[in-house]
Amino acid sequence: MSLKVVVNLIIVFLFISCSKSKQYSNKFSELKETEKDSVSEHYNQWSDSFLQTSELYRVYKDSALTVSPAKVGIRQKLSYSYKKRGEHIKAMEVLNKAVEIDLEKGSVDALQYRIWSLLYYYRDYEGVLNDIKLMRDVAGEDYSACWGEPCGFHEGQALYKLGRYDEAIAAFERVNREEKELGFDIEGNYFNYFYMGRCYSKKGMYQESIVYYDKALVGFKDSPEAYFYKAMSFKKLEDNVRAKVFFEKARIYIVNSMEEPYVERFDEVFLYMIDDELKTID
Amino acid sequence: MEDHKIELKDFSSKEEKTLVFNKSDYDFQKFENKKSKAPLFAKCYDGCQGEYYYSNDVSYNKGNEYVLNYVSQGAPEIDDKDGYIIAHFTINCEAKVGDFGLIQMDRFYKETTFSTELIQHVFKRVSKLSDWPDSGTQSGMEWLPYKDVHSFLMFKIDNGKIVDVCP
Repeated sequence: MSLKVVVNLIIVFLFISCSKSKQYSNKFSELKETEKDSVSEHYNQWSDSFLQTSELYRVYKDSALTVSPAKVGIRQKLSYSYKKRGEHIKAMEVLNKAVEIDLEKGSVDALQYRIWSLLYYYRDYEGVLNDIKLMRDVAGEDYSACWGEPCGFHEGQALYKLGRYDEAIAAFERVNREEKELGFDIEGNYFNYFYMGRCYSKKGMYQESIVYYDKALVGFKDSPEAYFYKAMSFKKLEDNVRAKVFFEKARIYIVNSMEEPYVERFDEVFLYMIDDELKTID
Repeated sequence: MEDHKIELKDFSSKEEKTLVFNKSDYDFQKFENKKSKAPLFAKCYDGCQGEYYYSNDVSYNKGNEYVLNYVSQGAPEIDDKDGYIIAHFTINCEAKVGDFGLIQMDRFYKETTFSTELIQHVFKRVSKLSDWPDSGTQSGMEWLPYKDVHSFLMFKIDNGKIVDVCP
């Protein structure tokens, strides 16, 4: 068989394949919305029977999105697959598309997940603040949650990491105020008080920081992080006796450390840090 | 296989590739030198690896701040770019790292490139990190329901400097 014949056969094969694929995609567009939902959900459920980071999980999620491209939830879950595998260019491409579609519908659910991701996964603090502003422009100023934690708490952490401590404290106070109005028990807001303490420490206001570490310890008794940074404040105040007491408490309760799944929280304390500090004051 | 030539079929990706090695193309002294410097690493199991977040979180025992200080030490500052250097690797059952991979991403989450010097520095330091989770037994991570773990560290780059580590 000559090369020319082989090339022609390949062209004919490709033409037929493309026509068939067009037929399939046309068939999807001919489906009623309820039928599309059903087919899409079918692929989505198949996808969920595979490991979240696997190729097959993604293939079936992609198939579901081919039928119903506007399904934000499926698109968002597809982004988790890439993110957990560390394929972040693709993860963010998929997530950004989900946010775009969701915002067109007037919803901020995907955006709230992106806020969480930018803060903890990418430590993109400017990105967090931009997205929080966008969220408030779309959904208003009301108290809202970004993936299980108050969006204002994420805002506070982003401001803290950018060194804008007064604004960060104001953001944490706002969360407390809003939660109090909603009837929550704000005494249990360990993280809020802890990061307020961190802001005061960074500002060099060590006495004030201790007040907030103590408030944090009301919400989370025996937190090694609160003990450690309280000890650091005493050390800065040249009270090594009390510093040693709290470093040792941090050491005893290190098993209670933040240990978040997927990500590391800001200012998590590790054993070597406590031991290094104890050596300096012994 | 012919005299002075070996052909290998590579089926590791979707596209089958043929790799041809001609003896005349190689400087064996150079190869031996490179081989002697190459780190010895093998996965403990040929099949699927676990991911860093399965069941027990497999993250560096001393945390991100330690990794940041260690990796940024002596890093060349010749780039003026922002973004992320994402170092992928496998932690084997003896808690040793190897099998490296790389993704370079800008601050808009698109593909980019950083200087070879910075990349080399990052990988040299990451390969020396030795305090990965250990069950306290000689066999390393035998407490996990799988043998090897795929993990990654993302180094945030600000104006060419390593400023943060995530996740």
